[in-house]
Amino acid sequence: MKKILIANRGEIAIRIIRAAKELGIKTVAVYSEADKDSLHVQMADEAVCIGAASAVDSYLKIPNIIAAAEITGADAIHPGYGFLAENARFAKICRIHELIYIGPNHECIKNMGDKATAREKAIENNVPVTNGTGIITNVEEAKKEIEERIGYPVMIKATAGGGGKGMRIARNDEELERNMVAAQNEAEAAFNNPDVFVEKYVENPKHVEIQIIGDKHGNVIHLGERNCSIQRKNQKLIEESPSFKLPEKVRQEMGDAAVRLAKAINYDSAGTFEFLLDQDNNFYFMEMNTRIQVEHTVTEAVTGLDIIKLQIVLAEGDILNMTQEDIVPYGHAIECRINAEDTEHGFLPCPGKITKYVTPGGIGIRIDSHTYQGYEISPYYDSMIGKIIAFGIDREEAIARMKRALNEFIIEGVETTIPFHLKVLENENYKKGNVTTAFIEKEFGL
Amino acid sequence: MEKEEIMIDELVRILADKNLSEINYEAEELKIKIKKDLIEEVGEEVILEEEIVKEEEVFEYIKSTNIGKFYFFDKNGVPLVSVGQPIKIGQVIGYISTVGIKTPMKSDKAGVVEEILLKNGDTTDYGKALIKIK
Repeated sequence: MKKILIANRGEIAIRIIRAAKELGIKTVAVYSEADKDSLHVQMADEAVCIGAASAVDSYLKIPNIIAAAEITGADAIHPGYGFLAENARFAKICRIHELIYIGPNHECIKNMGDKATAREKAIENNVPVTNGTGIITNVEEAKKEIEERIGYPVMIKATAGGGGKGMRIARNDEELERNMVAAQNEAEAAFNNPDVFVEKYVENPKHVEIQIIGDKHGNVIHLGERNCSIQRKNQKLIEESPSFKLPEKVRQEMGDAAVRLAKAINYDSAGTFEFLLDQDNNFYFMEMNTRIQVEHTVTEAVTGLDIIKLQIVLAEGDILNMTQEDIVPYGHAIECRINAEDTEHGFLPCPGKITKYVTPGGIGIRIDSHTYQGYEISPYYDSMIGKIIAFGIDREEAIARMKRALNEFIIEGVETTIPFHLKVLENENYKKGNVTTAFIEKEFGL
Repeated sequence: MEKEEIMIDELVRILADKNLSEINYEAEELKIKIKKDLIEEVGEEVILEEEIVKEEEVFEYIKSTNIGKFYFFDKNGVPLVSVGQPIKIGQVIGYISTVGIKTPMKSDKAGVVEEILLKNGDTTDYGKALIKIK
């Protein structure tokens, strides 16, 4: 591999450029007209403007990205996260154009991207799932199935779903009828696919996910777990590794289940299995993300591994040169996503110019960001400013470091989520690890 | 002579006090014209600005809407555009070749070709100026 084109923007584009630089691989940034002043454009060895500001005209426009690879002589493409990162067609097109796709093979993306298929694969491989239905074609039959086999409450899910879209809870037949139509409409609008299915709803679960890494030779290991229960409307705000209050036996069973399923589907890159953990520590497979995730950094902090570099060398065909026994997580890491949002007014995005920007530092602090003083946060994309990752010898130290870092971080010109993160970190239940996905709603009414 | 010198001194003072750029004084046989040095500099700047504005007004650019290699010769080697040639909106001014596919590049402006900014076969990204027209 000589030159990687990064089909993304923002902090993840920079993260990938850094990994490539360390491996001595050249990089190509692509950018929209709105991103011409972005840091990834300056940091890459080459940059190609691929379209107008709207993502549909640029970061999602496959022909333009392939053309950019051709004119620059790039021989590999890293999709980052979001945009085309879980688009099986894009991965296949890369292969057709003899470009190394730095991610899993397109069959895995296709199978695991479809929630109903992913669920089937999990069942086939003895990975626990909650009771549920297949794709619902008739609401009366669904009602009958729920009554006989599942029981309310249930979660209606879009099979093509992601990011919480197309998801609705139903606690009775009436809600099922009403919310199914809403979920179908939302799924149709977001994914061009209205198919939904129903799963038993796990009340007050923890969100625990397993990071796995596989090569093209059938080797797969996991890199431990992350607790991502601090969410608002299914959007993660704070992630940690390892997961607190997780019995060792459950941790091992989850890791084994993830590796078993990954091997069964010939998974050959970095990926994440998301599980729900109920109050009795029973775990249920929720979905798989066939890409790098925003929160991969906390796993890097406790394992000492560079997951992006691993993705790159494994995409080239290298053999995974470590075994499960080699993975011994150490310490505790927390990530806070800092967004330009007004937390006092419904987390409303606040695009605008950053007039002052001073980043925190010191022992145990990592900042992954594409922002600088004078940078303008565009209204066209997500409102992320960056991520703070705090590492400590234990959770208590990691929390103390994160608080210090949040207080050191000076960002002026836009509202940020920093004050809200500080409130969470001061919360007694958070400190004690009494956290489920309902935490933000329960503690802050949001 | 002394009267003239006094008069000049007085006019210079008025020029400075009132922040004027020029004074023409005529009385009987006496004719004095006083002008600030600065005035000429300002005058030049104004002219320069006017020239820049004129250039921006006169020239327009046909920009690439695609990514790839830009060709402005047809398959027989005949140029589709040349300097001095008038072009219309919608006229094919070249092709952009990507992954073996040639996409016609149509002009979204009318005018006379002033300069072709790329060499035949040069690469272009989205939004790059290809042809300068007036």
